[in-house]
Amino acid sequence: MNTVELIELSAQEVEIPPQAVRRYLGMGRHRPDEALQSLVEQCVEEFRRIARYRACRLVLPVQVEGEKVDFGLFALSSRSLSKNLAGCRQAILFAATTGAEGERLLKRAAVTSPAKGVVLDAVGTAAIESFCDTLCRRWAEEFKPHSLRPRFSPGYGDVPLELQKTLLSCLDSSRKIGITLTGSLLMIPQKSVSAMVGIGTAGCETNLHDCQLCDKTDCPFRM
Amino acid sequence: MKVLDCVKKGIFYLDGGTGTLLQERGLAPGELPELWNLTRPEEIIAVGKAYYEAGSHGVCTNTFGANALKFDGKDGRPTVEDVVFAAVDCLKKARASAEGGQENKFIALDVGPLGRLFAPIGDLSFEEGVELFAQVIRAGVKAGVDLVLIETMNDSYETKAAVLAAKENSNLPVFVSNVYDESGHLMTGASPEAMVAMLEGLGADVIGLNCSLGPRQMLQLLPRFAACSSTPLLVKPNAGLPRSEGGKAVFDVTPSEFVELMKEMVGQGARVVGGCCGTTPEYIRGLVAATSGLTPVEVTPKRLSVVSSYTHAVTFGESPVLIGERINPTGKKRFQEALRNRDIGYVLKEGLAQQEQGAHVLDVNVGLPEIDEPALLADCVRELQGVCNLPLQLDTSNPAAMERAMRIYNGKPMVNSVNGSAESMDAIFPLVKKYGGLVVCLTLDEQGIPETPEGRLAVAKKIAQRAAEYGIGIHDLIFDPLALTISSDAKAAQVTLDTIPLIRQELGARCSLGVSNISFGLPHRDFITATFFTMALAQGLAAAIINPYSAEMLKAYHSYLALAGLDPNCSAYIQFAQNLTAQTASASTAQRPPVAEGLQGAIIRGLQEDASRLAREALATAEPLTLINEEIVPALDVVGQGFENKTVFLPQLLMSAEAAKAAFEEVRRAMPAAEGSGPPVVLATVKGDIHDIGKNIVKALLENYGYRVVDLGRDVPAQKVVEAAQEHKVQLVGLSALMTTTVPSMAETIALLRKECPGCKVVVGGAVLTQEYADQIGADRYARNAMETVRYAGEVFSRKD
Repeated sequence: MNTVELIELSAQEVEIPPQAVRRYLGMGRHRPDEALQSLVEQCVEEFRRIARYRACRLVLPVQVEGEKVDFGLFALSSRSLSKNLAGCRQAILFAATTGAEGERLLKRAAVTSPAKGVVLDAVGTAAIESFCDTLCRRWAEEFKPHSLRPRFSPGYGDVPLELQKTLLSCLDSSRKIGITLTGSLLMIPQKSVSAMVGIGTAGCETNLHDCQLCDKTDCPFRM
Repeated sequence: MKVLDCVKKGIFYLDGGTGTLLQERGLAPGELPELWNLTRPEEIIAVGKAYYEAGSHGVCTNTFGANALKFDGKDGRPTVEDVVFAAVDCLKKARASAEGGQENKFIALDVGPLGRLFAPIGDLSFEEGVELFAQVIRAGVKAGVDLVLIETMNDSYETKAAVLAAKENSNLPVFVSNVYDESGHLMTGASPEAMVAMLEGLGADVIGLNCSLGPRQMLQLLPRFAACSSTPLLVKPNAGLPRSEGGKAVFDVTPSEFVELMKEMVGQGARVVGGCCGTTPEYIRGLVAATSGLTPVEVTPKRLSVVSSYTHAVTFGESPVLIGERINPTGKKRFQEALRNRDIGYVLKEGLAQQEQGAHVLDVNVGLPEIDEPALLADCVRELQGVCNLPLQLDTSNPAAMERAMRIYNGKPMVNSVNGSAESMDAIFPLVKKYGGLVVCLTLDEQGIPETPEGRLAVAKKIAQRAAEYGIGIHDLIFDPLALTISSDAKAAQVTLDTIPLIRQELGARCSLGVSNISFGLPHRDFITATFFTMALAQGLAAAIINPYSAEMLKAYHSYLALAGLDPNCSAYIQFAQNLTAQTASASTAQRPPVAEGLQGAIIRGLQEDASRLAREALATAEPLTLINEEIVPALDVVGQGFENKTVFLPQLLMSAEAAKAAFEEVRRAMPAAEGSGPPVVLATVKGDIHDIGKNIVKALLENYGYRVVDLGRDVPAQKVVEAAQEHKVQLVGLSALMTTTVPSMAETIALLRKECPGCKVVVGGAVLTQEYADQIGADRYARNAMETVRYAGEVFSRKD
């Protein structure tokens, strides 16, 4: 039987790197001036104070045959996901969030100051991405000598956003960590991620984050 | 016996976990357990029978997720009614076949969360939510259940929708149980005190907590419920905390430990008990055996005067409560203009600023003669509770507006107000009975305002009696002994002050006062108002409606707390005084070296305070218009060009926009007669999309360039865009969408605009849009970024920006 596990990390365990914030602000490697720098620092501090990093995960067997990917609980046909999971026997399904208060903080900032709203939004993105990377690094340790594939979310490649419904209901995410879907399949809190991570055979290391793997060369966030 | 008689007489036993048992019988993650009522009824009957035989009085139907979002009757899926009927049928069979007869065995209609979050944080409207729950309740009533158990709710707003649905569609007892974390908060923030306040206001019969925590953690939280609840308490813990062992969930509390802890729980006031995830009939059997001989703690009335928000409760009668008065258009031109433009953002800012100043509750009054007050008050309340966690005081003389606002309020509101006239009481008290609320009672009636304290007391007594007839207790009334200006009657203040202790002694009730009136017509009103406030506090005033920006009022408040022994070690006072000193110091050293390049430089560098100060200084000598044309606009142009050339980045562009706005506010103040607003532009994020950050950026810049922005927010239906475009007679509409999935609703909005507002131009933007997309859906212009929108607006209105 498969059980959904709950994971919670403290704010100390999730770093919010300033260079990631700058990247999501569209600044690439440009340095901010003093005024912006202090706004970024203030936003990172505020977000850290209220963020609640929670995740739930489910480890499932997976079978990949051609373009068909079968998790037992559900199956789908996808060229990009089958490529991502090729050679995996198991996969981690997970959903992670920074919590409801973060959502309200973003909403408050949008009212009081658009500049702060934009910066906090970038901070929130940096935070949830960093949280997911931290989780995946820990899981990579846990599943050694196997190695983990880059995480893959509904909406990537040819995997439809519709898969959110299935994925989140398998994870019981609304009850366990408070991620719900809107009618148009967006997650709330917005600073949340749901994804599948293949557990590959030993020796086929893949970098968790590598822009070179992606063929969208005109992406403004490309590093 | 009936359900509530059982609860009154002794301990009422519920069942244990269902999900756990069904998983053991082969239920897979993601599979809908409710389907088993139809496909594998024998399993559901077996589980129900086991619980009845273990001693449960109430067993829950297997309908946790039985709502129309999942069971819509389409494509071969069953309807809500199909599922509920089958589930009740299973329990009827279980009850009939269980040993020990049918006496005191009840069927509880289980109502779980919908799995969608309510607006404004989520996208489900409150009334849609109520209707989804109502369908479940109606089906349950038709199928013949004995009570409704609303459980595992992790959001207070959704809980309220479910309770209202139960109350409006049945006469059944309603048990309500929420999920708390170890710190005692729901997932969306509410504390036990806040939930008890709201749920008692709504008339829940039993209140409590279930799931997520084990009995040990719940035992820590239970005293908080027991201290504030006048309603029987429900406790349904998990069998401890789950951990995964070889892919299987194992709970760490054994049946015997569970029973011991539950015994303590009964000693602490739990009266309705059972188990949640991980508990089985064995746990319940043990629980019944160990506790059925115990006498549960008596449920006593707590008589607290309390209001709540979606996070916390505010109790009156402990420390004085400050109610911020600034959300009110009376005498405020700028506020009236904002309301007419439906600029809810302006109202929100006013709310957040008062919270920062230390207000505990916000009064919300949006009454203007020519507006649709019920709709506007509801909008303001809904949006305020999306960003600000202070309880609200709903302030309107329009009963229809009051009802709508009370209904959608996320918590237990303060209701402002009722008076001693029969008309007022008969309009307001039924609403308070239904939705809950702490009512401000003005001590006046058809005869006017009594001139003596005794006269005002008599009106208060009349109001209290009438409230009692409606079933509203004295603790849910707070009396306003009315402050009238001393400039027309020298004795006015004394009469008010004498009324406060009289009402307290004679009625055992508390008083709240709108203090500002006292100084009407006098110079330096703050001096008089603040001293009067102190005098009233000394008489035992529990709350006051004040201007939290007034330094005199805050001085009076903090000094009073220190003098009255309500501020241990004077620590709050010391902090207040230190902040005050720091502020005064920075005001007097405002002669900091000026930013090298003056106002222009301050705006370019995004320094809001400097921009505002430099504008103020410049206005002493310069003409307002000169300042705009020679300093502010050129600065914006420099930044705008920098952004287009990629030497200035988005956050910097916005910081400059805010600095410019601050300078504009100063200019505006210097020319009060100016029309101040240019042509109107409607902005919206289209239906289905909740990302509004891009739209907010465009709004900030358009405002900088003098446009009057009508911001419709996010997730906006096409029809609403058209209506706003027509109402404000706009020539330009801006639409934003971030997701490919929402581009069709952008296309739909444009099509409707073309039909209904032929002369109107449409500019579109957002992450997924491209020139091709924009052409395809028939937009007039695709704007790659906010500056392009500003440039396009300039073209449309043939202005040289």
